[in-house]
Amino acid sequence: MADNKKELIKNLKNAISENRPDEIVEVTEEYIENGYDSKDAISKGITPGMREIGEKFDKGDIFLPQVMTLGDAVSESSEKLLSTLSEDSEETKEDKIVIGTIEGDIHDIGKGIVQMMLKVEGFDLVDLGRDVPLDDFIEAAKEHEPDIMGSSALMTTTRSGMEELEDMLEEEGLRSEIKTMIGGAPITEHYAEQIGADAYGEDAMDAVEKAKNLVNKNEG
Amino acid sequence: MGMNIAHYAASGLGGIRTAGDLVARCQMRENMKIDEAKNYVAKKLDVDTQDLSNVNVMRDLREELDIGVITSLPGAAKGVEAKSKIADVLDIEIPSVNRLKNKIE
Amino acid sequence: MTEKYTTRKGDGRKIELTKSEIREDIEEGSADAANKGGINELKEDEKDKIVSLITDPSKVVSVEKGNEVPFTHDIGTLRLMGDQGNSGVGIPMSREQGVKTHERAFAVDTMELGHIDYSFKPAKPIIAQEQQTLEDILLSTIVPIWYGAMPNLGLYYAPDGQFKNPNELMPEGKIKEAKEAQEKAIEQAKEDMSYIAENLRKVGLDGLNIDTTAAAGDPDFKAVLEVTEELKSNPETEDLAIEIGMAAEHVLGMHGDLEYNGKQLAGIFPHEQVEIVEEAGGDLFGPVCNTKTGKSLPWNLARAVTFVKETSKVSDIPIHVNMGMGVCGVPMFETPPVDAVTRASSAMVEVGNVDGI
Repeated sequence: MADNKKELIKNLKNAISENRPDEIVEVTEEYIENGYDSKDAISKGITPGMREIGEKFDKGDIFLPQVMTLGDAVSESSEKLLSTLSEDSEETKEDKIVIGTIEGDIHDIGKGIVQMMLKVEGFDLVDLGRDVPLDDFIEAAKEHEPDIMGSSALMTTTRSGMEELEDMLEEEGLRSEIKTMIGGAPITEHYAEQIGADAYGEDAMDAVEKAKNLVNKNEG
Repeated sequence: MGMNIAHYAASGLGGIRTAGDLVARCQMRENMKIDEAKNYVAKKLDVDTQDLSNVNVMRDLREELDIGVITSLPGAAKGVEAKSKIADVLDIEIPSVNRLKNKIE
Repeated sequence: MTEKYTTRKGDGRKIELTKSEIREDIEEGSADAANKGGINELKEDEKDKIVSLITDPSKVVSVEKGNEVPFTHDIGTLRLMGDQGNSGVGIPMSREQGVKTHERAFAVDTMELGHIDYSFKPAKPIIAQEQQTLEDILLSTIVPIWYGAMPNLGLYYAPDGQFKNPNELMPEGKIKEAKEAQEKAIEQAKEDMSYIAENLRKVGLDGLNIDTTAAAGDPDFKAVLEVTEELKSNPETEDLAIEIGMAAEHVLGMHGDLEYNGKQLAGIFPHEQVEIVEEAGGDLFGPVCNTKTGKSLPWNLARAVTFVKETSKVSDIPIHVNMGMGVCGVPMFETPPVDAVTRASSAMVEVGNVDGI
């Protein structure tokens, strides 16, 4: 029995890392039918499988449409596994991110990629779009109560909005409840430190890792 | 701004101060890699390739060939006039020169 | 006590490293490029050369006399006139004055005319103005003149453009629709680039600089390759020089299935990109390698030189490496430090074997 469980977890991981979306749900269903522990399938199958996919995306060996198709299958698989856990289990909670491009900036290709990769990783995404007034970020923070607020800027002229956003979250008394993460071409780790943001994502995969760290998703 | 000056100081040929525009034209027109382009221009100008970035040599040579100099010099070829001479000296086509010739023919 | 050398981080800040730390960063940077691109690492003497450039106490370093290369300049005259708080310094002047200033005062080998938005799409409705400004410039200047712009496929997607936005469609699972939108954008971008090239060639343009190619991924790259092929097979434009400059080190797979001459475009690196650019008829190629702001100058430079050296090796057309802010070793800082720029510039020429910058 133990061998079968191990085998199924391995198959799940390989189906993900080798980009075979149809097999992912199939293997998940077989795993659940056997009554094995869902948490093991997530931590030993889905998580390492997605890590490999992230590395492949970073290296240019797999592309966005494939990642998105794979992401849908992984989401379905995760939902099935999570539904077997008790409702009050911590794992049933999806971490929420509000994301948008700062006011005055219409560049959204990079943000779009980050957003898709976060979604694939199981985050609950609220996309505010591009050229987003800072007040709308605040409104969204109140309405959605996210774990993380992510903002992007491609221009040095618009990145100053990120600092203003930090101040506005503070003034509204929301900052202590929300982690902030920033990214975009003119953004650096140093800039993030300067304005007091909690994290800086250098590229899509880095953003995913940092987001996971912020919500302790990388633990265990 | 300013970065192009740093690049010039580090590794630039020097534009019309020297023979930078001539080497660039050969790369653009004939897909010449750097050594081939420099050799081609040096041969046409009858100088050593080392002199292509030597202001001291190129300033006088450009004046002598009347292919445009960087400082104000009354009577020296300017603009498309200088380019028409460059086309002759390098034996290459320059679209704006051809256009002018077609207009006045 | 071990001697420390002042160098830079990828974000431009000063840091101090020992010679062995510098060597280590160079080893790691080169290995990273080799691993990512499936290419060879730099040789020991090449790494030594970068170590000597980084540890040189001079503020400005340079190539050996006789090793100089010509430059093409992108972003047109915007670095002088641009006043958006970016890299421009906001000097009020005409574009003709800007080109002449570059030719006469900044020792440029070639210069470029570009529209304030620097994209092809918005230049189309004002083509008569671009033609007349170009005519004036061609009459009064000597250096070769490029017209530079970005294919910028992002401008063809909603809300700016007429096609649905793939970034919105994909998260909704509408993959097929997203790909169709990209394919339509390719055709429209080709039409616009071709229109601009033909009309500017009519008034004597020397070359077309297609800058930040593939910023919107493989569809962007495919549009550029196909329009290059079209222009090169059109008798009216076949002698127009075409430079294809990239936006990033690898082509993002926003579509994933696009090919050129049977070769997949997504995920390819500079040494693979240049071969396809040559097939399409490109005359010059501008590779890019992104600077990692969290890594040191030696790491970034060794990594970039490793990619670019391989690109120069396999290329039969001249390589003019992109060396602006945040690429190919140059720190991501609006006014990149002169010490870092001159080191990056010298390494690219003497180790990366580029034909120009």
